[in-house]
Amino acid sequence: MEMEQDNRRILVIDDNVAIHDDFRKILERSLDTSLLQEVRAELFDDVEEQKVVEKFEVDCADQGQMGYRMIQEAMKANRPYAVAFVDMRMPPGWDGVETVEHLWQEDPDLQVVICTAFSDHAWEDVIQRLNKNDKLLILRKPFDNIEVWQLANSLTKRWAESRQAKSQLELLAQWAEERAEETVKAT
Amino acid sequence: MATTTVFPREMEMNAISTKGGESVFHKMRNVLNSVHVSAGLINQQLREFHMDDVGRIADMLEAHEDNVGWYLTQDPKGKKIPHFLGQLSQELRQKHLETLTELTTLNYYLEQMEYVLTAGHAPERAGGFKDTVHFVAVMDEAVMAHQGELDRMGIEVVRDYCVMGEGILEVARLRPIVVSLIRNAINAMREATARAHRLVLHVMPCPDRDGFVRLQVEDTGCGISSDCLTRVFSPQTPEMQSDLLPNLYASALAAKDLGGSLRVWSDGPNQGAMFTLDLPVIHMEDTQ
Repeated sequence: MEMEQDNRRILVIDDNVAIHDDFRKILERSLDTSLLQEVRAELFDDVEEQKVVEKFEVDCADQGQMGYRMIQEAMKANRPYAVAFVDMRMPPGWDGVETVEHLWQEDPDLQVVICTAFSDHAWEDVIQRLNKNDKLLILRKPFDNIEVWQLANSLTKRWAESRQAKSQLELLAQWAEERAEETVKAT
Repeated sequence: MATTTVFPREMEMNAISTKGGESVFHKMRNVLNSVHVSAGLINQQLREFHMDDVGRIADMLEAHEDNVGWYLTQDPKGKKIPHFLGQLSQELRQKHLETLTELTTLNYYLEQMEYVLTAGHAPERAGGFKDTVHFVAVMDEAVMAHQGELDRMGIEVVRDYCVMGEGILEVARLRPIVVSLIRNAINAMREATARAHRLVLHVMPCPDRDGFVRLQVEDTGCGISSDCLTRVFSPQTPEMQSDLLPNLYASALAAKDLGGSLRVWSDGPNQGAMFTLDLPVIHMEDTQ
């Protein structure tokens, strides 16, 4: 269970590689955790020692198909991604919606953020088509650094919570099944 | 930071299609995104400059003016100061470099936008502005704009500069060529994953052409097969990069316009590639 709590693996799918670097800049950056911070807290009265903020592990794909393969491999290796940021338009391959449909076939627990620079999408259609709107968020480009960081942070937490809830449900179901069998045997 | 839309929606509708079929508008929005992230990062980095620390130390020293020697050697807090100052200076230098790198990257994004808004769109540019160009500086600026990305990808950069040449050229046309060659090299190395990569930059006098300087960008990326070598600069070659830089075809044309040439060599797939840009110089000083 511990491994699941700590899953900070993020997958970015965008046809523009410059955007990969944008995500890396934001998510792979550890927040001011210099060694100096400790000495600073000892020297100055009004400085508190800062907590270490864990950074994320970011992988990138430039087409939906490639992202799909990476999700497959991650599932096989039992190292699932917690969150995927998927661009809406990625010519010439799958668009964002099609990509997300494929990703969820492989990994239904994946939290997804759809990124878009366009306002011409009928979001009702997108959400209806994906029909799982509690695991889907929308991020408009150009995005702010803190927006992306917060999304990644809260969605990785949400991923862990939903996995935990799911495994508890499974335990419960198993227990119920065993009890049912016992009852059958007893009668 | 506020999100701003630079263009009216009509422009999105009438967006001019590029060869790749992707609209300039779409690319522009993507670059705008990078501008945002870059500016946001600089903002964050500047906040992490512990400038107040210097003042605080000064205050502490001033408070012990009468016995500074004792304070710095005996006082439990004071004796930490010399070591702390050393570390602080190191940290400030590091952060300064990071911020400078990011600023160069930001500048590069803005240049990309400018490229589209001027050279990329204007039908004919009446004789551009010529200026003295330091070739090594142009090369270094182009690399610095990508230093963060190179670091993140763990690519080693080797500089082999054996001449500090100057030339009189349209710098506004030269810079995008060099940047585009560096981008091209990074993209090629991104495609060939699972091995260590190296970007080698050469600036030297042209061995076979008097009065020319040679700029070379060499990568260890995915390489080019021999039958594709002749087609690298063809207008039909689809644009590999999704940013706003000139593609290799446009770069070769621009090199020719500047009185020089752009050529490519690769030993084959997965063997890396080397682009050679020869340019005329007015004055060259050998620094060796």
